[in-house]
Amino acid sequence: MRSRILFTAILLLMAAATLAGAAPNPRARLSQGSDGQYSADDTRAEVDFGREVAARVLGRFPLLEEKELTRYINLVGAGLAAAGGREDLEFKFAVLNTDIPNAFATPGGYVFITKGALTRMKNEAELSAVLAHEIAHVSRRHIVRELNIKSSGSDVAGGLARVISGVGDVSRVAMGKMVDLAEEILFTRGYALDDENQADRDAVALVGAFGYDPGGLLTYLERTDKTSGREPASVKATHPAWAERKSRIETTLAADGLDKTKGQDMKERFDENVKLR
Amino acid sequence: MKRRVLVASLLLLTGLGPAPSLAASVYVKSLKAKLFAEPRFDAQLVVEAEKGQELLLMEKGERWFKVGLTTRQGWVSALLVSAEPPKGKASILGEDAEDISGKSRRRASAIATAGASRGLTEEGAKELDARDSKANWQALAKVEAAKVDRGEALTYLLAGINKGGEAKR
Repeated sequence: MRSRILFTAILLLMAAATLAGAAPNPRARLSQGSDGQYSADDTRAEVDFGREVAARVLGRFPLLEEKELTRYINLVGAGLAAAGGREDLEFKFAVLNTDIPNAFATPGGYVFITKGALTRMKNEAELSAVLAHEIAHVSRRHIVRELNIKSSGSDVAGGLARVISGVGDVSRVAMGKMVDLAEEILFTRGYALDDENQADRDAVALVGAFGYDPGGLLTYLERTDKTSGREPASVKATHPAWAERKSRIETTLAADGLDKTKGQDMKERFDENVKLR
Repeated sequence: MKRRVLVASLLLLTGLGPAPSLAASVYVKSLKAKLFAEPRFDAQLVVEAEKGQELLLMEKGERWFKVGLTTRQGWVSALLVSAEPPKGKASILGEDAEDISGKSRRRASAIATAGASRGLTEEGAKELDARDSKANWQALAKVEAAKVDRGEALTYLLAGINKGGEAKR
């Protein structure tokens, strides 16, 4: 895997060097972004890249086109993201029509939850926890950091904007390679363990801060662990082993003072909007 | 390890390094953010800060910030504040976006829109579409068209939770 990442980085360098003589991209101006290490142009490159990956997700699993359900998922997800996600992104949420239980997020704020995950959920606290986990992956730039997606004018290490704006074979190959790697993270090997743990910690804190039952992530994952297999792209195939994960989530709940907090489960509103049984 | 060395080397070469971190203030992202006496959600509530309110950053942990608000101070979850006041988003779906839902003949235009955001020509975008048969840009356009306003979403979420809490009292 590391050799592949190295290969991709070298490919990007080649692409940047190839395009160095081209007219400068007007968007490549370095400006202050949402945190000190990323510029607004980096964010634009991230959104461009995230769209490519999101289109691949939708090429793999069909979109579930249920207007009211989609609106409900968007209201819950966008509300969580407005309070606890990155300010520089517009998060979008959708349901994938597959019975495989999982959720996916691409850079730039595209969040997908499967029908299989929704049918295993009992209430909005569980839904919020899963969406908050995915929002955390985006907000913490887990894929962006792993693939080193940056776009500032002088940053030849990332240089994704130049790859994206290029029309040559090297650019297209480099872009395709990066999208393939992002898909591999989402559907095959999963995120780094530290990234998963960070997303779990953020998720329970965010839903707890909202007043939801902070135990929603635990109850959903425990149920899913019992009722699903390890098929490709499933939550079991792409996430840490349940026993270890459970222990870490419980530790986080206790550290944040959320282990004895009940909160709202919002079951009634969930049942009104999620009718997939 | 090799990757870290590579990245570090490139950062040195380009003169880029980690940016300075600690800002003087942070701003509330949510409609409200509770400040607690200790960095725990079950600690005593000190005060509630409103959306957009500036908080003086006194101590920065990984998950909790110690902040000051007028004459009071407390701990706020790092998730609920940002280093900058609310500002514009980097969405590429602004004035050049178009609705293509349900119209297959306009699929190429949708990809051109995506392509334009990347600086590609329409011809280049068509090539991209032809190359990547594993993608579904038409479905993506529907996802983007279904997005909701973040203020409306935040209100929906909090109103429901507050109502649920009142009903249980």
